Amino acid sequence: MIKTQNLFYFYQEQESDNKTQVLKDISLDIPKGEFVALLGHNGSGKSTLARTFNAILIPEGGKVYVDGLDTSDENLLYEIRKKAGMVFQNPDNQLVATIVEEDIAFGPENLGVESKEIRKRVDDALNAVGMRAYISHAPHMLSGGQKQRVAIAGILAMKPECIILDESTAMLDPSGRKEVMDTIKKLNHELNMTVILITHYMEEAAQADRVIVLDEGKVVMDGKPDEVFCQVDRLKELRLGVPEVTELSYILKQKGVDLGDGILTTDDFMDRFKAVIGK
Amino acid sequence: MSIEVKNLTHIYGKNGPYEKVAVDNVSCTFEDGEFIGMIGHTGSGKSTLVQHLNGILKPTEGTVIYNGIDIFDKNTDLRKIRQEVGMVFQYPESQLFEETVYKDIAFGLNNYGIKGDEADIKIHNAAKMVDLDYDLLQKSPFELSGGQKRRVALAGVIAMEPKVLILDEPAAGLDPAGRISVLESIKNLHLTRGITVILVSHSMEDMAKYASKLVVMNKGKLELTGSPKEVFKNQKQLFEMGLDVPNMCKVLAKVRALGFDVPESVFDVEETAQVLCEILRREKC
Repeated sequence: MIKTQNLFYFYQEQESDNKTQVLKDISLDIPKGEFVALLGHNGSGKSTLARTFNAILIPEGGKVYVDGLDTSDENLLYEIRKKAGMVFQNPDNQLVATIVEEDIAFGPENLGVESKEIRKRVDDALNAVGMRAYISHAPHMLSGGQKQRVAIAGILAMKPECIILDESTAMLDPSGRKEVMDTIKKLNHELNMTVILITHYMEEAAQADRVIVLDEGKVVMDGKPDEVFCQVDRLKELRLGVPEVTELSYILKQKGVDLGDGILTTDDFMDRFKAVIGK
Repeated sequence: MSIEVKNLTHIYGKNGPYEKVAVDNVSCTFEDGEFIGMIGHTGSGKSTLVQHLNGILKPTEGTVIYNGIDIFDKNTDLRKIRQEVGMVFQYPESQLFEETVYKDIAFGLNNYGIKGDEADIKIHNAAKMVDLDYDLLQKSPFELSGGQKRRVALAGVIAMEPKVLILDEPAAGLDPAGRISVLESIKNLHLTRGITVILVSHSMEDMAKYASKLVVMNKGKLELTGSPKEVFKNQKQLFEMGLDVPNMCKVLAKVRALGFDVPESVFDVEETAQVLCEILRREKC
């Protein structure tokens, strides 16, 4: 679905000719239907990388292909943006209309979709995120989690094949975070949507199929959540962490209680704990 | 010395078509030197409530008494209250504007007529307090990383040497290491200067780790108060309010359900490991 080949990106420094390398030789292949969590400390390049995935940023070296389409080809811009949609951190900055259904219709209207089809897409998108009941509400009166789900619906109405979430849960309360996570997992499972989730919550990343870790603009880890999160010390060096239950099993192991590797959820933990204690 | 919130109600757009009761008759007292954690779902009224504590918002009804002074009395000098009660907003780095980090931290001090050497000492102290390298002081704040910018904004408020520090989600959007570093700075400030801290956060783990007392807001009302141990006992009620309990609480609740005696005041990963080791040791004997 998304392929990068030797991708480089630079930012121009203010008031000088120096260029800062933000992305250094990144080659990734993200197949259709995969749920990828993208981790990295502040300034590691993950948002920059995500912005090359739908041609907001164009590579300065190497290539990015979205479903085979080269993002550096200006003529393909609309086609690429239709395929890969992005949801940002602050829900208040990305809702444009005064009524939920109009907000969701905004994208397809811009793409010149027929009005009958728009109607259908708005309804489908709201159903997919579980917000059908709020169709004529004012977006600014919704909770944070609801606003983000409306933002996701706005992307869905453009019928993308890939959805990119850039810290879309950072400003939400615990139930809002769960709403968004449940929604994207459902889209991934039921519609086989490719999901790229940028997050600082390790518990969220543990729910993905694959975890990619960036540091100083390079991919430094790439694997299944259990393969990545078993490297507790390495992740701490990278200014990251692991899910708390993973850390708990890691500490227990150091204390001589080995529950086995790959514990990522409370349920995993309890199953192993019960087995050890014989309950 | 305390902040007393008395029957405070705040209504946005009163008598208008979008009238919303954001804070509904809340009364509570924050004692001197406490580390208060405030939790509540988005829209529960936390931010609205804390913005009354130094008079940024005026209540529709009720008032706030700071050390015996009614801060909304027309004879009260709000400038003086604001010097003592400092507020760090959400995403405070968006408020940085000066040419250099140094000037940005100095801005509040200069406004209060503190200049020259006196300001210089306070600026350096504040930078040290939040772990900001002195070499960064002459840089433009816009060249810094997200975590560093956050610390600059924090230093600007700390430089005023407030007696009470209110922070609205100070760690949101920071990476795990940045999050720990900012929260540890706040904890040190609390310990070394004895200031009162009121911290608004959505992270139950951080609340359990840092706060001595929790205040839970729900739909504009004060729903629960107490120590983390007392508050996190109410798992079901917190879930219903759109909140959560710390991860380790969930693990230990499940261990308790297996019939083991587990203390209720453990939220930390290390301590949980200790508790579980002891259980295993006893069982294996």
